[in-house]
Amino acid sequence: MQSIVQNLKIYNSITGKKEALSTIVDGHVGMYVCGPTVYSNVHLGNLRTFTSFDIIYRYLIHLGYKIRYVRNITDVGHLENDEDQGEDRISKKARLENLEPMEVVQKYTNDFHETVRKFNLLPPNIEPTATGHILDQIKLIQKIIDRGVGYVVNGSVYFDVFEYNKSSNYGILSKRNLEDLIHNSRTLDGQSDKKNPQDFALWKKAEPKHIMKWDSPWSEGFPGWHIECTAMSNKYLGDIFDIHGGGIDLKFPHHECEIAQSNVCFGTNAANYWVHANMLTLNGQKMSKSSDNNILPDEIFHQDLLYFPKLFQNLL
Amino acid sequence: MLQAHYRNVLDLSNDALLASEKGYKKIIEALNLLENFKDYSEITSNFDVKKWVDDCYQAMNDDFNTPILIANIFEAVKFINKINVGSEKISEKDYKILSNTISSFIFDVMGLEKINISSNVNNKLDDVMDIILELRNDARKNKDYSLSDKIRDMLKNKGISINDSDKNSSFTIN
Repeated sequence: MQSIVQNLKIYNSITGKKEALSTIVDGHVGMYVCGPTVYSNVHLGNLRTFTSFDIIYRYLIHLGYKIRYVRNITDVGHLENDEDQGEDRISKKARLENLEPMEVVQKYTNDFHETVRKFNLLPPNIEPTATGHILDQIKLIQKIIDRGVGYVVNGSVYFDVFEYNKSSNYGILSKRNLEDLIHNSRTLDGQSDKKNPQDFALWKKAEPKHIMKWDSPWSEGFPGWHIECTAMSNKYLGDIFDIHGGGIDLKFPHHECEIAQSNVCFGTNAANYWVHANMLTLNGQKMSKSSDNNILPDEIFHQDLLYFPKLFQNLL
Repeated sequence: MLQAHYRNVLDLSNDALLASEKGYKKIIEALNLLENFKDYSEITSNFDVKKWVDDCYQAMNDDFNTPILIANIFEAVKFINKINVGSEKISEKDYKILSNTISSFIFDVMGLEKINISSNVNNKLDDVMDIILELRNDARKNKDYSLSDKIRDMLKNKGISINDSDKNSSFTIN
């Protein structure tokens, strides 16, 4: 068995190579996977990500590793688009459905758990929620401000990507070049407090209509999406851990930002191996909630095909 | 069509699911054969079990290459089917290695669940319905329409519709 373990190679998105897995503590693996944003039913594309990491988790267990697998629930702070614009997805859903935000969170967390159970995915060892770790996030944001890489404007806090890039490499994971990002970004419509469009929010001051908000040293508001994962992974896995995973769509900006935050706070890339699962397409087209090219997990549970979930996993 | 590595795009389509369904059934059927197998030989013919085990680990060690693992499993499935019809042989020692490895990869690593393939249950339902339909057709031949209608209505109450054609009758579950 020892020789088998020694031969395990894993593709690392940071280096773009398959590398022999060498863990920080012999025989132990710390793995963090970005979990679902619980504002709607989990879709099959998300499930593909979780199934991919389920197989990795199961194989590592099979090889005899002791694993701490942390997969979070994003229950606040994930805005409608990546430029820190738009409404919080959960808050919006709550407003539209006239529900308390935590009802939205509970409803879709339950749906997520039910679905992953049907697909026979093993539960993670720790499943932290972003709202349960607001204080941890505030501490990290303060640290980033203290180190001169975060700035406060009108009660919101932003990460200064240019300041960071002076001493580190913003783009280490996504291989995007900050210069190119400047050329490709849209000019913001004047509503933004950011110094540069590439900066990202660590804390957002809540507008009056916003229903999910917490006290902080800067304003009553809510955390940025990226800081949540940094806070939760660090809390349960430490300043540096073995594997950080997620869907390939999270590589930029989410994971790039996590790496930047972790470098400022802990002097590490958070994880030694960054692993990304690819997308699921339906009949050759990208699945999308807004187009018709979309099926929900339940739609493949047909009474004639009781073992469809297993088939799906098989297919993956 | 069990062919997508986690780093490649996976395309879901009806055909892919149907192919996957077929593959899954084949694997489970082979495992059932393996479970009930007792007819060991002195030696194993034409299948290097040790190399096969190594190949499975090699596939997974190469960045969790599940498509190759699944291809290997199908090699074993072919071999198991041949043992079953007597055209290949397996020693007891190899049998143990093969069945332990294949179960741990299928159930522990790939996370598939063993379901007593529901086709068994469905087949039984088909058999029972054949009997009922035949009895009902006898009633119709004997012009005992109150009986044949009663059977149809009772089934309908349970969500099973009878479809009569000129030659025969079939049923659908609603």
